Amino acid sequence: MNKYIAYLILLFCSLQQAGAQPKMKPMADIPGFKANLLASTQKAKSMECDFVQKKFLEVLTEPVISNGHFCFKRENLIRWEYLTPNQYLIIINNDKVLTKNKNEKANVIDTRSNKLFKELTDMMVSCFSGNIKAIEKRYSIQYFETEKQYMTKLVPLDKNAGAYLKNIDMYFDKSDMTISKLLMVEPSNDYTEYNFTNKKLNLPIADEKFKIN
Amino acid sequence: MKNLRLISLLIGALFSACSSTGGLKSVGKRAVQRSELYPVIERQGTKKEAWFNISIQFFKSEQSGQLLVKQTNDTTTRIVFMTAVGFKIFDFAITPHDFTIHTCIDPLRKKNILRIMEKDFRLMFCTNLVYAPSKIYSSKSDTAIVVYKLRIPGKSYYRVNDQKKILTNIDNHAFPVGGAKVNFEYTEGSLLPKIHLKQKGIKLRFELEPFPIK
Repeated sequence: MNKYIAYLILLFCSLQQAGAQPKMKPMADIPGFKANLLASTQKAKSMECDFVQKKFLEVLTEPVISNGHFCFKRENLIRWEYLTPNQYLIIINNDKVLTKNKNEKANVIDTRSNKLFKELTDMMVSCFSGNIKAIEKRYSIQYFETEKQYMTKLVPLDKNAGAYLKNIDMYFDKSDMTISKLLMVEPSNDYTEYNFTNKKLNLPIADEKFKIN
Repeated sequence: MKNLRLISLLIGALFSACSSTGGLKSVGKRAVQRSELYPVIERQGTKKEAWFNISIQFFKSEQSGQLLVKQTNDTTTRIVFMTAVGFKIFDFAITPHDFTIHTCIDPLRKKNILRIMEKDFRLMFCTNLVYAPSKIYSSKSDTAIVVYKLRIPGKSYYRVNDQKKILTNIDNHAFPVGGAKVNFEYTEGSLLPKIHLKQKGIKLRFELEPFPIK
């Protein structure tokens, strides 16, 4: 009997949680969304924000959480800086990617010779520059929305990319059309969630921050 | 003839100087339980989960990220390596008799690379429950130092400190050449050690540094 009561409580809790999530519905005006996104991101020359990364693994009961700071500058400059629990820096500067640990020397990769890295960096740049057209060539896209957010679900068309990524979900705030959440789901259904907060648009960011030696 | 004797003496001296049992005396032979080797993961108590910053240097290339080592049940150790951005490089499950690949990126999905990684993780994280009857040595100068000569994989000398209850190093010999050396470096205030593994035959190094996860 106690077991049934426990099941009922669990069911009730899960229904409550499901209720707390705003339900996604198919996007009503896809061309309008694309035009709106392109127009607003064209205006955004730069973006700075904080991020929280949660890695969900089937083998763990709780996600692994990392925090950091993110900068994007047109056209192809990204600085992705992890602050806790580890310090780690990633800079994307056109075709070059720099990775650096706190205690290590920098490692520079030319994405032209690394297909996987090129795929990831192109996708990241397209996400933050709002260039849906560039993404459409390599992903099939489904469009959704809630009252406050747009969501695009990207499924890789390329078999090689599909071996690493099942889908990418991008969430945009309707208020300013900036990205607020990114979900990268692996074929095993393990996934990484990035939440972007304290977004600041069009503040000057020195080119030095994206320098790769 | 004299030259031959001299060469044999020199070779003998060289081997005894490099021997893993130098300064030790044999104290018997018996089956060895995993717990006697003080596996790193056991230092985490009931949690049996550890996180390391890992750097793998393979010839001139280097890949760094985070390594999760988790004992999911009495016999299975799960090893997950992912980059800082959360991208999984590999995900292995190791039991005393099986090696399962849950995920592995294509460049690493090579028979030889997988075989080396399996062997190295088995060495570092002591994945057997019981090891076949093995020679046991103790230090002539410090009775707390015990060395187990285990026959898996290859010939491996596990050096432990019974007083501190820690595994300090492993010297693994492969036939006819090769093997690996593993050092466990404990710092004050940290339950988990830094682990350095160096392959003898090829330019492959693993550097693991523990870090706390919320």
